[in-house]
Amino acid sequence: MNDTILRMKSHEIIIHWLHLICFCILLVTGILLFLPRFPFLKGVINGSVLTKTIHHIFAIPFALFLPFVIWMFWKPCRWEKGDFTWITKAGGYLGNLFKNAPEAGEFNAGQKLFFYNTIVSGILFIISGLIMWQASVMPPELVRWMYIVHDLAMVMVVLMFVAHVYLSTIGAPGSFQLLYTGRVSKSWARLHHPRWYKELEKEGRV
Amino acid sequence: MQDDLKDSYGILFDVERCVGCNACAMACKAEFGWPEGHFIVRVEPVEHGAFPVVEKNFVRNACMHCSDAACMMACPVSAISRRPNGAVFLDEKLCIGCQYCVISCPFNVPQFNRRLGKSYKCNLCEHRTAEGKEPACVATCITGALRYGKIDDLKAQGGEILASTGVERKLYGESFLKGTHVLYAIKDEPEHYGLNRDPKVPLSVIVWKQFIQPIGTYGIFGAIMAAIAHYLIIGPKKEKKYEVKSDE
Repeated sequence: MNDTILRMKSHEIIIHWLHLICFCILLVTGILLFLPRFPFLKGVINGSVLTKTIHHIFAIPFALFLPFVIWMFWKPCRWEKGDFTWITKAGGYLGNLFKNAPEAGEFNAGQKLFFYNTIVSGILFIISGLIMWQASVMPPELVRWMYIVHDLAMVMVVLMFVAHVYLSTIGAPGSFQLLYTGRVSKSWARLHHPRWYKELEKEGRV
Repeated sequence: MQDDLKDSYGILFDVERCVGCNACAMACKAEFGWPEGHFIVRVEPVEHGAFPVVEKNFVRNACMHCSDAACMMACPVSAISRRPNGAVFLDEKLCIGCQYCVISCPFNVPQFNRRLGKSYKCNLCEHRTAEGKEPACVATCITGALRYGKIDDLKAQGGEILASTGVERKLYGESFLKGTHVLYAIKDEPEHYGLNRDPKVPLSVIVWKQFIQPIGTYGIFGAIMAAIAHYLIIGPKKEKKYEVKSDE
């Protein structure tokens, strides 16, 4: 009997990877443009036209993949009763500080928030990015505020991205194999997504 | 950002002496070989009043080298910096052509060169002043409308020009943006010459540079630190052996 459960289909893994890779390239080049405070990098990659060009090029697939990401996570990430309580109890991740967080379904409320954050900031990135890209034909005042929108969207998404990366690697062992096998162990599912596991059991899929 | 203007150099522009010959604009263009359609120094005719009582002046329009420079604050890659002589220097090699300086300058000074993909503006002829020469525009001015020198000397000379009006008046550039390095001796209100009375660093630039950037930087490092702290103090959410047993 197989001890693992299918959690991500292959097309979902591919879309996730493509979006992730674009995001990481945009993040690194964006940070180099946003924080030009590394003297040894000055003029090499930090603040070179190449950095900006890479940032522009990878923005296009990033924007194109966004609808697919929304499409594949839209249904399982619907906000449910109990999700708000889950947030107020920090999902039980803060040890003994908050106890009795509600059981998570296929996705927990934190992941759902990250998903909504991806949509909102993604749209803000695209709108403000296009305006900044075409700065010479836009009203100056608008372009200046778009820098602020772009950076706020970045801060919003990076704060949750740090948590997402942590909890999908060392913060929750057994998670990362999802991104190359698409499968998780039954005990992992019972621990992190108990309600989802029970639903699967009811449907006789495990 | 406090800039000591004492040892700084700058340019004094005497509107009364300017005849609009455009020699400064040409000298500058020749000095840098700027392509068609691009000027660092522009001399613009400004008319005032209604017929038959009209006045016409020529106003030099180029970088003011502000002490509180909006372009310098705006530049995301620190390609614009302050030189020891006080000049606001745009380093073309570092410029990524994002045009944030272009849209932030209250004087509309930096321009964008589409062919090079870079912004450009007056650098106070650093290559000339380093050899003890005057900036190209000053050296070529035939009427003496432009003078190059220490800010203090320029202020004294400008004060003498303005003293003749009998009204106490400051040089244009002394009273805003913590003082500019290019000063205009004008004998009437700034509007009279098509000048901005109260140029400011745009609010959006200040918000971006002084609030969003630090909040973003500390926020991101804070999040990384929080993740590390969580790992060390509370520890990862691991599958425990007994949980597996209890289900089987």
